[in-house]
Amino acid sequence: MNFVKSLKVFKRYAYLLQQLVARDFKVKYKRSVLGVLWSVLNPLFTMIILNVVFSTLFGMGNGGTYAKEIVDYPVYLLTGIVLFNYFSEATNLSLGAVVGNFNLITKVYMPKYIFPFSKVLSSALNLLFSMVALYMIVIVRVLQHHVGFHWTNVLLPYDLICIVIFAIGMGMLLSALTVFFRDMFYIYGVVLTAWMYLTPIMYPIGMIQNSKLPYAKALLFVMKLNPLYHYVNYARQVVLIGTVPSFATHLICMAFSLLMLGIGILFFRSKQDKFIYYI
Amino acid sequence: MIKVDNVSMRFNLGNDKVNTLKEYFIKLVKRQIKRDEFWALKDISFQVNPGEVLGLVGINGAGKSTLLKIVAGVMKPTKGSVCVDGAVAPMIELGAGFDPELTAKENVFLNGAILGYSKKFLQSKYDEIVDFSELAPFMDVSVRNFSSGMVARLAFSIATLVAPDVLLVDEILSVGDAPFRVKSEQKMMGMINGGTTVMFVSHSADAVEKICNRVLWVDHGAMRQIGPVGEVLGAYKEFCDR
Repeated sequence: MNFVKSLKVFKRYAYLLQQLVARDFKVKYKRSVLGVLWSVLNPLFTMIILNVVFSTLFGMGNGGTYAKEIVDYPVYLLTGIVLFNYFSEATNLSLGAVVGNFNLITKVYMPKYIFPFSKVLSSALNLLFSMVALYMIVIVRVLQHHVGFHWTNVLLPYDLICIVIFAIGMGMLLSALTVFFRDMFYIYGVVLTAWMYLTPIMYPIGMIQNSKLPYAKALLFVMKLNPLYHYVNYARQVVLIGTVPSFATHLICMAFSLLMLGIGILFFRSKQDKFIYYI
Repeated sequence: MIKVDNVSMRFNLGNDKVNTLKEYFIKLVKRQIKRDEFWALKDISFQVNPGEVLGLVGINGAGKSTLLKIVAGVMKPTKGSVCVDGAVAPMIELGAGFDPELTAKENVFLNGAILGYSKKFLQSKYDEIVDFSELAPFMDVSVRNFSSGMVARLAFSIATLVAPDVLLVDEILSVGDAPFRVKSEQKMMGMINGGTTVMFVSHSADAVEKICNRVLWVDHGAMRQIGPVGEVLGAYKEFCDR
């Protein structure tokens, strides 16, 4: 009964969701000469820079102890970065989505979750453009015979869907928390930095497995509890290595997403009527 | 029909609002977590019958707009319940959610979506909106470049698209320059007289007298008096003059 009602409300406001996403996109490139092209160029340039910095300056390249895991460092690095950047952008934007729309929320009725939701979707649109840039680099690397082009790439959308669902849950949780504690704006920045280093984006996982650090085992355990670790790994398996991830991996990825979505929805729903007291 | 039952609304006053963790801990240690409560509405009950126009009067800060927002569903009352039959059109704030960077045309669809209209409906009514607002040459211009009068015209034209079952009006009867004022007031009156149930907030005794069937006087969040227009307005006027 309640669920049916919520679905009806969602259906009614689906057009608003579409409008909000379209607005974000239109406003972003308004008055820039290259316009939408920046959506591909921006991640492309960032990737090239990161690649140069890490491959040459930090000496992280192909070959060496971890050659089997990394396969091709530029592609290894960039798959991780594209996914993490999406997550970081989506959650950061939805964090302030409720607070930033208070002037609307106090004047017109609409389901409030639509604001974090629209931010996660706007970022997902950007993710698609980053994907175009990523594949441009993948194709270059394929042509240079550093990496093969595998049919398993078609599985990537599953991974993207998982990470988008995860970001929606996280976005709802963060946007509601921020209403009560504005400190979240600052805390979350720090959390994201730590989170980035806890996800094997720039370094191979083998580096930690072989590490002599006394807490290496604990670190590895924490890492496996990190959903982004699994999403990044999934993407690398299908893009870089060309193997089909195991059934268990599929389950783990989706389970993390749905769990986070559930937590986000429950928290948001229990708090949303109190938002107006904290304007 | 609108039915308001024992509605009370409590706000925590701004100075005691705890916005950051640090503040929270400091205040917790100092035992300062006390709620400075403010009851914006206290035990309000009334009913507006179908087709009736109820006027709301009271001094600034009496709780009139809060009451409208509760009926509109924007806020949930702390206590009590509100029951509204039919589609509600709140004309509380026009042009909420206009994005200055977007063109007038894009804003029509964005603002329309915020008000809960569908794409199909907005497309079918688009020409009507443009005609009524008389802004046809400017529809592809960013709203940033609009004068405030032009923004008000556009917002008014979107907000008055449908004939709702329940209309909530906060002080907006007409907008724009003199010729447009006449036109917009006519449109409002048309909506009000068309059998719609209306709640109408105004500081203009003339307007209230002209369109309302009954008046509710709210004072410091409580119901002071409800009844026939002349009687309540007379008492309210006496109170104000005192």
